[in-house]
Amino acid sequence: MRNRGGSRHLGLLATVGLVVFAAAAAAQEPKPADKPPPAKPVQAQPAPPQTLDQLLDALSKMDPKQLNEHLAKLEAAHKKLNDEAAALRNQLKSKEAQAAAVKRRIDMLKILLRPAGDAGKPAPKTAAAPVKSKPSPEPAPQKMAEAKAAAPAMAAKTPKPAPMTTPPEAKEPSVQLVNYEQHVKPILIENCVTCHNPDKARGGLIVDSFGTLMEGGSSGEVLSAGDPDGSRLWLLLNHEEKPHMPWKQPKLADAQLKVIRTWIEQGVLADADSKPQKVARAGMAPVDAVPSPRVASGGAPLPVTAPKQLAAPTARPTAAVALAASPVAPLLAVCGTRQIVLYHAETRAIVAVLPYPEGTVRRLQFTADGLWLLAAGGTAGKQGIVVIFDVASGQRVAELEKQYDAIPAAAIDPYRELVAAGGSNRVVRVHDLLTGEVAYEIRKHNDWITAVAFSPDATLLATADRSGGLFVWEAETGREVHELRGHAGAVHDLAFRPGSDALASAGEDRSVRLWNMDNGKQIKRFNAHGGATLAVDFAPDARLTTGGADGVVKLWNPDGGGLRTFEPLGDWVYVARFLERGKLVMAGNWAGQVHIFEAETGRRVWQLDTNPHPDAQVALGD
Amino acid sequence: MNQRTNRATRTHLALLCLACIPCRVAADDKPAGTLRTLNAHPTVVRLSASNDVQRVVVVVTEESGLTRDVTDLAGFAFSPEGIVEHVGGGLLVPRQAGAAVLTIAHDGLRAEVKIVAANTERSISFRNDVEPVLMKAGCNSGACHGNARGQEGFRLSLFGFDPQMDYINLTRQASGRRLNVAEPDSSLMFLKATAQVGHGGGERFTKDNPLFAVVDRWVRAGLPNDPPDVPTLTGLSILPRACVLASGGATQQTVVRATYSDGTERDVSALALFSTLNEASAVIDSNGRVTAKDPGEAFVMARFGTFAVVAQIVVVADQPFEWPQNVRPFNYIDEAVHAKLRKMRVRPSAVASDEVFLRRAYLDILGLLPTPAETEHFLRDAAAGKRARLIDELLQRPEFPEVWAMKWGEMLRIESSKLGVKGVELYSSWIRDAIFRDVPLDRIVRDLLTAEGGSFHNPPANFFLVETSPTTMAENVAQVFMGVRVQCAQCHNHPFERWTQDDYYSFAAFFAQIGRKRSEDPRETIVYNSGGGEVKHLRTGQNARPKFLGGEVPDIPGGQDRRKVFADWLTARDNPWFAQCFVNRVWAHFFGRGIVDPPDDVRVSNPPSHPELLERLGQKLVESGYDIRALVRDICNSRTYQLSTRVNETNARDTRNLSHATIRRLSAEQLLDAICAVTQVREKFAGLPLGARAMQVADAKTGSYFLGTFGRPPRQTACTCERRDEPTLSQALHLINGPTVWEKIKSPNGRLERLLEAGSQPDVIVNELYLAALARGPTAAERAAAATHIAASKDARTGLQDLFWAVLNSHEFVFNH
Repeated sequence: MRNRGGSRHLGLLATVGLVVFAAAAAAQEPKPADKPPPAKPVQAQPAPPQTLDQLLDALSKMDPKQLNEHLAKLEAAHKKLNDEAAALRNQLKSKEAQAAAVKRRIDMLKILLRPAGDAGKPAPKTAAAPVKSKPSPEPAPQKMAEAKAAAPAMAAKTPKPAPMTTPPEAKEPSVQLVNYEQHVKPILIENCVTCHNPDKARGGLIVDSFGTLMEGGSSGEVLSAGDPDGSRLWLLLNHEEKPHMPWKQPKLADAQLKVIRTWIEQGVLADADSKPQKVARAGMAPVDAVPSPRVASGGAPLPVTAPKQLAAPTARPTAAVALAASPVAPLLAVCGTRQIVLYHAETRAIVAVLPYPEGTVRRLQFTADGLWLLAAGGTAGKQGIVVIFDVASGQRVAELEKQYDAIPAAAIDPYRELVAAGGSNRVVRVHDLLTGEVAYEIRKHNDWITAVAFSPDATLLATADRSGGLFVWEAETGREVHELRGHAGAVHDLAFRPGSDALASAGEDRSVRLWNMDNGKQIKRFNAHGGATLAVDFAPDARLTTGGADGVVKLWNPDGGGLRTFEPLGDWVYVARFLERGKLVMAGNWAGQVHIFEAETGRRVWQLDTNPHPDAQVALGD
Repeated sequence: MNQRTNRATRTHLALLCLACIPCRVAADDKPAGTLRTLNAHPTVVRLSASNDVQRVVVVVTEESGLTRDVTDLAGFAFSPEGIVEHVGGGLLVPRQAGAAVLTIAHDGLRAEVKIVAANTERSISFRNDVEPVLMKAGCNSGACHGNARGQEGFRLSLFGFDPQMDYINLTRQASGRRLNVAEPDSSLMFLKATAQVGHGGGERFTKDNPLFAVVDRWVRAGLPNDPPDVPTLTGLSILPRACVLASGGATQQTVVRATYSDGTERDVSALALFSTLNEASAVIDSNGRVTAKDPGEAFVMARFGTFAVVAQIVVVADQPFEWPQNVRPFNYIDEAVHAKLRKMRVRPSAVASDEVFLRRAYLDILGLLPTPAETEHFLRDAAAGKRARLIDELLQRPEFPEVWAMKWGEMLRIESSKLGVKGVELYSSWIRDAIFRDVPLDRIVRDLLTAEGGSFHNPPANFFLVETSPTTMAENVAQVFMGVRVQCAQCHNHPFERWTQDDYYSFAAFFAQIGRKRSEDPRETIVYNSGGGEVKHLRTGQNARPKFLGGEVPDIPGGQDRRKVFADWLTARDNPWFAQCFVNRVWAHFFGRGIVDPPDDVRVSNPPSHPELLERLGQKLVESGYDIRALVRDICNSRTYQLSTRVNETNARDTRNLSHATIRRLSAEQLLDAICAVTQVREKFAGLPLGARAMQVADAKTGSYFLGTFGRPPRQTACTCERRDEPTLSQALHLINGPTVWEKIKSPNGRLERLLEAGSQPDVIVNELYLAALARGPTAAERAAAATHIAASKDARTGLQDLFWAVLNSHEFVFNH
């Protein structure tokens, strides 16, 4: 008994001693700001064994009785501090609750006291990264036209006179817009208020007042004015996202859903006096093109001495799952069976054929300077490898990450220093190309790694898995920066926004989500496709392109507004990438076809496949 | 392996020699009319495509009833030649389009097969070719990728109920890594299935397996999906449907044929999944070849797509067998039972003694033991036909309907936690009264299924208060009134039955429009036809349209009570389920197992032991106007019911052919009532007067340690499996040490004390105790042992108490035999 008590005391004392020592050691070190960040991951604090010895030595010299008294004092102090901390925590909690209640009341008052002219101002403010004050690319009149189109359906439901009785020359304001008080609130009261009332407030959401509804629930805002597909309320009610609402009850009637959708599209107006606002879409503005870090001066890199010998064509083309465009040269890389074919984007000639005897390529990426090409893949279930090719010579610069399964996810950083790769082993391994060693491993994923990407400024690494796991790490050290929660099901593709301030992720749940890299919050989500969204890419001006299981490729403006749907490819689109600095979009499907579209006109300008015939090459010439 | 083959061949040859000699003679003497026959299966072959193959099996049926597979011995001749070629083993391959006649000759016997062959090639189909491979190789079983969560991220629908999802997951998911059209040989599925790379499921097939060829052909064709009008499977059959094999190694090849919606047929033996339902008697390999083992009856099952079919394999000892002269049927039940026994070459046991019959009849018909006076009266009766008279007497006693009221209570799940005390009282009185008054069974069921109004004013309305969800309601109705378990089909097609998810939800739709509201009395609920409400199909999300289980889609005008439409169908005279289901339940009560067993699990893979008998009994029940007494009278008057439990050398291992009576433990209620009757000490149940019998307890919630321990069902589900009859330690301890037996033996009002008080002599008391508990007097040896024990005891009372205790703990008392 005594013995056990004694050792416990000793342990406590040792801990206290160590902490004291660590604090002293930290004080002696220069402040972090004084020093450039270390090049390698920081080692753990060196353990001070000699100090422990000294401590034990000192302890052994002390009078046991004195020691025990001292310990008792320390323990008492420790307990007291703990108690105080607990009390403070409790206080804090109740204060927070009070503050929330007060805030809610103030918001309600604000709405009640609001001057009539101000009524329709949408409440939400997004936590977006700095948004440039460019005008919205979507012209307002078009929005108005949509609103008008939706209005007649509504008019029949309102007590106001039917449109027929309205003189045709009536002025614009006579169009009845959907608003919260008259149209939406009754629906919410009927279907939702049992749970989402001020007393119960399930999920932190209260729907019986405009203010509280706009405030959102515990997982954030539920409405995005003008953007139903980015509004959680709509997605849950329309059973596009889970939990489906109303909870364990049938979906709302189509007419009711239409009211809610129209209301959001028209800018979530509070009441009949609210004026339709120009919809301020949550989201992102275009960015100026970011210059590539190390563009080789004196011409863009193109293959010079690389081989051009095509392998014999296979009976059928392999699925076009990997495509890449050189950021600096008119060059595109297309996956094939046991080879990668490089085409000149302007002459359309095959300019190099890089052998990949390990199997099928599943991921291609040019470095930012266009000098190297990364290819990852292999033979499913058998072998996998990441190869770095020198574009000019076609030589293999490096072979990394040899595994026993094909590697679906790999990326190289813009400075050509780090390569990250992962797959069915559920581990992301980051290789340092300068030392040839493994810099670090990420073992936080619980399922197969599906996508990895480095930010254009090389500071961040994003990694995703088959169960919706999505993380952002400090590229150099592997320290966790953000965990991005939201995707239900696999994340299929990742792309950083030029400027590195946001990340786009595409998932099995059909959604494309934009994440703020400053705070890890979701800025925006939209359902891009009728099935899983399998591919996403950014243009230098931050427009997006996506491809999906519905066989369609789409073009989006930087805030997720749809710009164009290209001619369908007829089968699952696994990859969609910008080409020629955003002028062209290329996409590949399961049947092995690669279609290249002009972004501006939507015209298909070129079609090729993953199984080029050697004779066809002669015909094209080089 | 080799040895076994040799032995099999030897047996075969030996049989052949034995069989030939008398046959030749017979053929010479009377060329026509011989009992020996040759049959080819199938008799009409339609080779619907040039890449089809059809196997024909040739079977000889001997005079003894034994069958032999002579496919390899028979001669095949085509007329005209050149249309079809026989490539050995009975396999026919089309060579050109046309019709031909195949004449098969063997040992002086002949059989003909008509053949029609086509010369168009059948293109590969995912649903009709590849899905069956996934099933045959076990890929989509519940333990593997058919699991609801898949396996290692790869999911297939369980037994292929969702081909569209399977197609997508195989070809498109995971960037199409699973099948490689550019390099088919490096397809992951091949590497995994042939175990060239690590696979959790191990090797499923080798590269030379026809299954591999099917998938390979599909990959090389570019993984085409099926057009919307791809033929769907409409039927399945297995041939021969029945055979009688010699035990110890005789074999029989089976053929499985599928029919499709476009009218084509196909031999799918190579793709069907085979299993045996009785491994001890017959096994079947993955090619459909049956090998006989020990004598007995086995069913072999073939599954393909959503269909399952069985063939009956009777395995008999290949020895001379003679039916005992003195065994004659008492009634039509025995005729059917004896026919099966002859086929099985099993002799039934002798008829049981009067004592055994008396006790059995009392327990089964009334749930009671005969009193000593009743026993003595019956045993003294020397007139002919006394058993039939006894049966008639017992059927008129009031205890008879009580047995069936209790059974109904279990089927309808009458207990107070759902229905309330008053609901239980009214509901159980209603059902008891109906049976007392001989209300025909179909009326009772109609009244239940269409009940409307307050649950107090119209007690059958309680039927709709036990369960409220349409799907659970449908499950219970199917199980209780049709003997069919459809629960599996809620989430996926039933793996061993034809019930699909579509059937499940369409059936549940009959119960979608039942309204329930509070009455003025808050304890009462009013049931009404709400005229609205639908059941949504789980997979498609569409409203399901009412469709009879295994029947057609009725035309029901909106607002009409769907329950009435269903009740009309269920209780119609020609309904295939209803009468047989009920007959089978009654049968199970008297024999301890149903003709289909368990009686509420009718399915292809659980075939009846006597299908013709079940059909006959069902017909009789309908003809008698659903008279349960007439049914019980027939059963109890049969020789089969009156058999002894003592076995002979041919029927010792028989459990399903009714060749001897089975020993059954008394049910919880029977046992408690028996102990009370023998000791003459009454039991008190909550809410019932002192002396009420356990059989009369209406509410399953009425507490009784004894009844709970001995397996009284809690009535939480409609399953017959709720009543438990397996022995437990607490049962044994309760009888040995528990208060129920010992307190009642010692009770001052009990039988023993009263006899002692009346000054009866110990040997008289011993006699009465035996009569009361065992329905027989003690044997001379028992008398002597009892006298010795009583003499050695402190006093006669102690000795008799010990003896009484021993009798009540004897197997003879606790079991119905």
